[in-house]
Amino acid sequence: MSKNNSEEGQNCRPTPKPVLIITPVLIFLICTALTAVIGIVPYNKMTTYLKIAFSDKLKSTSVAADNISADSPIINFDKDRSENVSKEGEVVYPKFGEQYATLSCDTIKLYVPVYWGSDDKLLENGACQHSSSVVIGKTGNVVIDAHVNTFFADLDKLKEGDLVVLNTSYGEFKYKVTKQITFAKTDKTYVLPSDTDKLTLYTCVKQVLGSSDQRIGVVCEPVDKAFYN
Amino acid sequence: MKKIRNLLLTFIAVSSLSLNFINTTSVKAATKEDVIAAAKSAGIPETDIQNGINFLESSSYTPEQYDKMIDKINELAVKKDEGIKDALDNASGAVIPSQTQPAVTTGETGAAQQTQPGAAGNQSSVISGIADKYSSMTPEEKKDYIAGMTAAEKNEIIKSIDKDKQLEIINSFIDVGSEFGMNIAVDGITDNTLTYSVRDNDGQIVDISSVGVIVGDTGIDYTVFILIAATVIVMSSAGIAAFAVMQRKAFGTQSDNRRDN
Repeated sequence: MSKNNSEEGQNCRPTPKPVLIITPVLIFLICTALTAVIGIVPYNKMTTYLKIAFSDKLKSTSVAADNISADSPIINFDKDRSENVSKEGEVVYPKFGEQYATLSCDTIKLYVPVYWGSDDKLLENGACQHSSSVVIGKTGNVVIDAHVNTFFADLDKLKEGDLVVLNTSYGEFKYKVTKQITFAKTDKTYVLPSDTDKLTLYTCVKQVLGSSDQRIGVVCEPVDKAFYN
Repeated sequence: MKKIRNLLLTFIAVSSLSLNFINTTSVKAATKEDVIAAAKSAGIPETDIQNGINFLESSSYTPEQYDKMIDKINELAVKKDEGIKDALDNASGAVIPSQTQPAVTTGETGAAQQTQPGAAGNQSSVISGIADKYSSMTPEEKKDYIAGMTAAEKNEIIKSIDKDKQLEIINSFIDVGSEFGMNIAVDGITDNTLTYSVRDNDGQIVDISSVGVIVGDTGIDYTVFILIAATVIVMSSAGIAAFAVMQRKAFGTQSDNRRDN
């Protein structure tokens, strides 16, 4: 019996060395690729949190934006409301690429810097307000967008009645969500200027491959305006 | 190429409105409000007007500068109307009384194509739709008709005018910007977008925008990344499977040999 076993062992050809080497490499590659794909969402969240937590500096490197490299950290505009405030006041017009506000919403634990102007690099650093919308505090439609992969990942969780706050150097502006919206990229209905005060937040619909042509968001109406005196 | 051309044309149309939102009439504006009102009455797109309001509110100009600006814009508007007139004349087979181009003989076979190759081949549906009506108008009626066109109609036609005329308008537009301390540069052209930047005389960026884009792209595209990862997974899996099959075959052969022995 033992003789038979040893004969079998001698007859069984050993696994070739290339196979022994390549197979673990292939398994490693599979694991790495799977981890990378599965890790996209956590990575985006982590970088978002890190940027906010450590006040990552604005690094804008597109050709046209070469000279917008503001070295200042993210500005926190939260102020003590005990100081004098009024319903009317003067706004400060921002320069392109300037962070002139923060947008926050406790419901979805949102806290994001808002930059004036819209640019790919700016979108990497926070939310962007298109220069064709009205400056925060003026009467009209304030339109702000951000990446669905990062800052506005939970925008679809906002519901009617949720409070959204915009803080600037010149005041604090509170809004209440009144409507959830879905629209096509080519539909300008919600981003056009208006005669009434409102805040429109939007982002892409989440999509695994490619960038979606559909947008989701919310329309908010003002509930409180407080200009700092 | 056609897409890029169309983008350039849209660029002319949109940017000439956005920077300008200044009026195309001969109103002498003494204040910002006058300029804004004039822009609205001129039928300029709301978003461009808002963009202009933001710009004007953050800058200071004298009434004389406003007037000068309006004059320059009027020159630009005239160039645009000339381009539109040429395009409509071409489409309707009329003789083109242009100073820069030789007269074109009329004919059913499209003699206009010989002098304006870019135009006739790219007639938009808007041009085709009004060509017949336009051809039967008197010169005065034609002038009034163009003056009465909406901004959207004009923009649509500008997209299909002769390339030289487009460049002329672009240069005129850039001249207007330079006159008032705004320098426009095209930063990038792809099949789908044309990105341009506006800088002041100090080199500071006033705005960066893409032609006709108001709703931004707010999703990061991971398609390439995911495709690469998927390819790695599939190919690695295939490799492992191939090794497994080879091993099984080798083992089966050995077993058969032993059984035979």
